[in-house]
Amino acid sequence: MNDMNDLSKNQDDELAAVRHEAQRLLREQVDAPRLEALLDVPGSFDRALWQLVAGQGWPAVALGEDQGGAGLGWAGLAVLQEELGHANVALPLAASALTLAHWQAGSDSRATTPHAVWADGLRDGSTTACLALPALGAGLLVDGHGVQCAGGRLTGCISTVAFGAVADLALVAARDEGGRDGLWLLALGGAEQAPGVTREVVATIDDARGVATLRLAGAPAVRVGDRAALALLLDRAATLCAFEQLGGARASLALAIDHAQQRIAFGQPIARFQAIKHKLVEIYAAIEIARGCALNALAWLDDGVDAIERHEAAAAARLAANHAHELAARDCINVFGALGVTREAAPHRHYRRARALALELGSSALWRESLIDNFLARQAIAPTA
Amino acid sequence: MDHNESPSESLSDYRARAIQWLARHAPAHSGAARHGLAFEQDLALGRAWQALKAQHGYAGITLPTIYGGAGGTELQKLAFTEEEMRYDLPTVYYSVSLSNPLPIFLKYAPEAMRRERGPAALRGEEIWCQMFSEPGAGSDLAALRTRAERDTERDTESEGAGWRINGQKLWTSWAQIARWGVIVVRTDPTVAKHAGLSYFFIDMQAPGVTVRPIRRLGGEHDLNEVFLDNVYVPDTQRLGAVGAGFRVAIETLMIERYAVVDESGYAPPLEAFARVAAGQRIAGRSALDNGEFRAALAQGLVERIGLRNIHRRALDAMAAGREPGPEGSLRKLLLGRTRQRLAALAMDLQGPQALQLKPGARGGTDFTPAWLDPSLRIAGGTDEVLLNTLAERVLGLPQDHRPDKGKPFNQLVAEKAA
Repeated sequence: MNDMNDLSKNQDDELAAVRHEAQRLLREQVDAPRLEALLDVPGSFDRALWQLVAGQGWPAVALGEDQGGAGLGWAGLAVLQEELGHANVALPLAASALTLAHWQAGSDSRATTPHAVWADGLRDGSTTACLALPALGAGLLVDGHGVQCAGGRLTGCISTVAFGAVADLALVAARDEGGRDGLWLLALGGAEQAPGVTREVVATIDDARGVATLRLAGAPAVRVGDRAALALLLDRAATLCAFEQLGGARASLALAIDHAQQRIAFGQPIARFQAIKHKLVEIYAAIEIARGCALNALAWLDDGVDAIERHEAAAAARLAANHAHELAARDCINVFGALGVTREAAPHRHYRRARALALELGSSALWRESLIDNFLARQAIAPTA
Repeated sequence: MDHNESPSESLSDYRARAIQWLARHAPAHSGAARHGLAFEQDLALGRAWQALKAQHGYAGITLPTIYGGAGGTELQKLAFTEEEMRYDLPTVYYSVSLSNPLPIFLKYAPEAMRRERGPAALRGEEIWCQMFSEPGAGSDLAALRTRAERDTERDTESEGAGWRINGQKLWTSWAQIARWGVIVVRTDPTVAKHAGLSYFFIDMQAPGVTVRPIRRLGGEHDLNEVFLDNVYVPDTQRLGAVGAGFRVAIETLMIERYAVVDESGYAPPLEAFARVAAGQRIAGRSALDNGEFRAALAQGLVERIGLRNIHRRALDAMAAGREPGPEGSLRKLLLGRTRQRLAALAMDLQGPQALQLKPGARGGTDFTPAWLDPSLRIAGGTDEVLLNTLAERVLGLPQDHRPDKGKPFNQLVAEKAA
């Protein structure tokens, strides 16, 4: 018992150190002009910042020390995600780490393929990956009009993929000749595009996220997982994204509190008006529920846990984080008043990011349906009338 | 007596023992055993349950054994309470008595009184009530007007000068069955409103105390108003210094470091909500497919998962000797709203038949009576007051404009009259 407490206390201390260091680095590197510049060009990506954090070992934070990592597991990744969200920085950290995890777990032939070098690149950050999940328009795991795989080659279109414009690899959800859904790893190519791959940069509401539509016409890919692996990937991605959203929501709340205390109207700080105070507490409540759900989901991310319980936890984390992030971002704009609708102040960047993150891994509507179906099945509740 | 457990008993062993004990004794005092009972009969069952708990070391779990408590820890109390809440037991009559007035009495009263009154309260024989609110003082407790003046005529050598209390208290839970009550009164109207209050405990059977029940919308029997007509109280029944009444009142309310609110807000759980939908059709389709139902259930599930995690972290913090975080205070706020919203929606799903009030139906198991009791959003601080408190204490936002701040109480009364 004491040993376990010591272990968990040691890990808590290490996580706190990682968080502190991440905050320091992001505070030093990231300022408003840097973030604004990214928003002016569709398909932007802060490659210099990525290289800097890669040099600090961020992509490998979750991995064991035998693999050159920090040994902090999903919790380490979650801390970095939260701080990225707080700093409004968009990096393919979760996508790359998840791609590595699924690549290592999913392909027996990986050691003999020429692609084995990908793992090294994902570990040290010289290679980046994006998640290309075409099914998310229709259902979490329903893949009617998505990407098909025939003879190890992928064909189809995946629209608005975050980091699709800049990543070296894509982890793609697709369906094979036998009608089986699963995951494939695809090389997107660097400066010259890989065979069968066309990337179309698209302008979006949040251009800092390197968004592109990927068109695949017989692009060679390696199968790395089945439908269960796809379900696991979605739950992991949703949970790690929830921490990024949590950080973003915290940042919006802090901006709003700060502004409300500075801004004087009718002879007093507007933070004294209940209309403002109550709005800010509602955000705080949403954030704490989102934090509770995200921490709960984090405990379910390892392979081999009960998939039904894991999905309930991940879906709740996603719904709570979508809600908290958007509530914080939109009400922060209102607290700022007219300044909130300009590019002179920070709130708009969180407003954009909240919507982008709320859609990229599937909307709340989609996850809500999945959560409820899952719950009713678990409880064996079916129509009796 | 099975409460002489070894001092090193782990919390999980304690909980396991409580689960076993409850399984043996709770059924005879809960559920079907309560069906059709009149108020007096249910109260008698509640007294019997409290006496049984006292006999087995489950009454006043955190209170010292010399006063009849079990001398246990906060975590043991939380564990027992969580397990006890799984049964529909008649504990409500002691909900106020043992949570706030008794612990504050045990802190401030003279030692001989503590040793006498403590065990009687914990065995369930003497119920305590708490007289704070008044017609003109609810959320703004310090605005209260019930006054206590020195009784110079009854100045004995043994007791010194006592006090005479005059005024009216309101929303006093269980005053009609209480033997004793704690009370905050104004002893000095010439100073600022918070500074002129003192705190006493009084005999609810003393001459001049009149209790009148208040009819609640759902028919519950808990609330009363209490009239105090020249009620004599000896100075030995003062708790805390003269003028320190507001501080003692706040201390009374803060006694429970971490209160457990049932995770469904004492309403039927989410599983029951889904089963209501399973039995209904709306416009030809199962209500399980209704979008509003699904959105509400999803929101309820998300909130429950988040609150369970917050609760677990609070217990972990307390086990490690740290204070639980302030997020624990969101629980009542969120559950009060959810209870009311889900109960109304459960009624919507059932249609007009949900308007029926079935005899004996309780809020814990039936959505219609749960809807008919919105008090979780009022008692212990309205939603609006809680939002203010969280804004000021947790987010560090400035206090509301308070025009009465620092002014002597008797000038405020004059201003109001003018």
